Order: sequence, then structure tokens, then C-alpha cells
Amino acid sequence: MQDREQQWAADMRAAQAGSGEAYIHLLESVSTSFRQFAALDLRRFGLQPSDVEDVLQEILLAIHLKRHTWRTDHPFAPWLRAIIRHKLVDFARRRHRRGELPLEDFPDIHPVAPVEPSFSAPLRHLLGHLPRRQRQVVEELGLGGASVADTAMKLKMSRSAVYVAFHRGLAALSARFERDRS
Amino acid sequence: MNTQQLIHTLASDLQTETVAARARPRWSRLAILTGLASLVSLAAIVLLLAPSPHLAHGPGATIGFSALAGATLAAGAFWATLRLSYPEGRLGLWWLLLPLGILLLGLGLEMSRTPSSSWSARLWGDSPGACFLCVTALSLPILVAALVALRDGAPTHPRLCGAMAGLLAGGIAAALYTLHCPENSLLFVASWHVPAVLTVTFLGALAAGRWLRW
Repeated sequence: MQDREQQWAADMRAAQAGSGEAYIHLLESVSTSFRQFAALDLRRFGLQPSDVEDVLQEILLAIHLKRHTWRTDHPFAPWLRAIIRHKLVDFARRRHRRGELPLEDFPDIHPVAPVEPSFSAPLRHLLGHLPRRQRQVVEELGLGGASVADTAMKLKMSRSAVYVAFHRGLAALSARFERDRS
Repeated sequence: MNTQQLIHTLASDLQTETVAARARPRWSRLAILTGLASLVSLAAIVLLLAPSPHLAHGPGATIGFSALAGATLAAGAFWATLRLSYPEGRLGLWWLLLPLGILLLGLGLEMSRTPSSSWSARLWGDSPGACFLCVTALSLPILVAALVALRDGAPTHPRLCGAMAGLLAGGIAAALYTLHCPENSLLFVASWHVPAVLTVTFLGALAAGRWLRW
């Protein structure tokens, strides 16, 4: 426990100084530890075991966007725990508002591979169902191959907003893709 | 996008963004923005409203106690707001005892020195509605500035954080407003300025519930 805390804090300090390597190490370590204990957390918030990667990605995104709020002279674990909890609550709230049904209730539907942004005709059709912002970002980043910075500038959004829209857009796309195939 | 890809995308973004610039002490951002907005409110008081008639003979007990209560409220709320702007931050409220104590002490002094028959007139004053509205309105620019500063933070209790920002804004506005307030009674301050501050607190919580989500 103590070792992990020190490793995380050291990695984050290095990451804040610009080390991509330390950052990847940190995010992978956080992912591993989250997956280990996720089942319990997910159940507590009324989520399904299959949600683990989606929630994890939201958490990683949040860590990235809010990494400047970790103070180097403070312990890392409480900061991380607070973010994880916040994102779990947020995810559960959005899930329950949309009234989605868990995949587990439909044993004949198998999860399909995540949608690769190759944008064939059916995907273009699916894109039409996304909210405008998400669609624009997915088109720019995925279809146009633009960089996050360029997309942010072009759409007059912050980089964080571009990330969030891209991530949510892709998640919504793959959800719809599965639904249409079934 | 799978998780591994995401991690690499985020790492490649790490290099392009200057975290150092954003990692400077967060209190400075909150202090600068609320400070600038306070100047706006101060300017509004000085330029648009007449100076308090009671200032002519130096600040009396009413001005002294209410300015002090407002200032300590703002200072405590500043600390609480900042704390809540970090994900792991928790609410601390012990500092509220200070402005409350100051106000109650002043009230006690005033009530012991004035006949009870005058209390009702003191409480209502001549301009209760105007003072309530003024304190509320003067708080708003400060509240907006504080919320702008907080957008850069990561409050996991956005409403509480917004409420504290409301207390911060209300405290500053109430302290500044003593420069104008024509009334000379803490009974008046307690019954009209305090509700104005509470209104701003409520507005802060409401706005933060929308603005400070992440």
C-alpha cells in the first residue's frame, strides 16, 4: 500500500514535469488497481461488471484533465479515490437517467469489438444520431485525422471539452452500433 | 477506443500542454479574480451610492462590527472554498464561529445600550429592501469571479463549493457596503444583510451545481 502510494506520487510528479513514460506507468498501475477492486465499487453504485472499462476510461480522462489539482506535497491516493468516487457517481447517474438496460439481461447479445473510426456508410448514418458537438469532434478527430489542438481551435472548444466529447461520442457510437446489429 | 489506446493518447497530450502554468498555487487565481471583482463592487459603491453619514465621525460600532464580521466571513469562506476546490477536499465550518461571534457580540452590546422600545425601529430602519438588494447585487460580480476561478478546480461537491463561494462573495460585499449603509444598527445588519448573504450563498450553490460539474 505504502509502496504503491509512493510509486504513484513519484510517477505523477515526473508526469507533471513532462515524462510521458512515468505517466503511462501511472495510468496503467491505476487501471490495474481499479480493475482489481472494481466489481465491488460497480455493484455499490448499481452498475454492471461489464461497465468496468467505460468507467475506467472516464476516470483516466478525469485524472488527465484535473491532474493540475494534485498538489505534489499531498498524498496521491486520497486524491485518486475522490476522483474515482466522483466519476462512479457521475457515470451511475447518467446511466440511470438514460434508463439503459444492462447487456447481461440479454444473453444472446455478445459484446462486439469497439468501433474503429473508419467511417463507412453505416457509421456515417450512426454519426447522425450523436449530439452536434460530439459528432463534430468525432468527425474531426476520427474522420479528418485532425489533432486535438487543431480540433479545439477549429470548434472553439477547450482541449478538455474535445477529449470528453470524443470519448463520449465514441462510447455512444459503439453502444448504438451494438443495438443496431442486434 | 480501448483503454490502452486512451492511456497513450493522454500521455502524448501530456507533452503538448504546459501543466506548470496551470499548477501554480490555486489560491492566487481565486484571490486575484475575487479581488478584481471586489474592486468593481467597491467602485459601484463609491461612484453610485452616497457615503454613509455615520462615517463622518469615524467608523462607529455598527460599521466596525459589521465590517469585521463580513471580513472574517470572507476570509473563512475563502479558505473553505479553496479546500473544496480539490477533489479530496472536505467541508470545514468551524471558522463560521468567528463572524457569528463578532456579530452576536456587537448585537449584545447594542441591545444593552439602547432601550428595548427602540429595537423595532432599529431593526426595520428606513431602507430594508434597498439594503437587502444592494448587498445581494454587490455580491454577484464577486460570486461570478469566484466561480470562474473555480472552474479550473475539481470540486467533488460542487454545490457546497459554490455555497462557500457565495459566502465569500457575500462577506466581501457586506463589509464593503458598510461604506454606504445609511442605517446605524446591527439589528438592521443582522436582519437584512445576513439574509442577503444567505441568498447569495444559495445562488452560489445553484450556479455551481451547473457550472462546476466535470
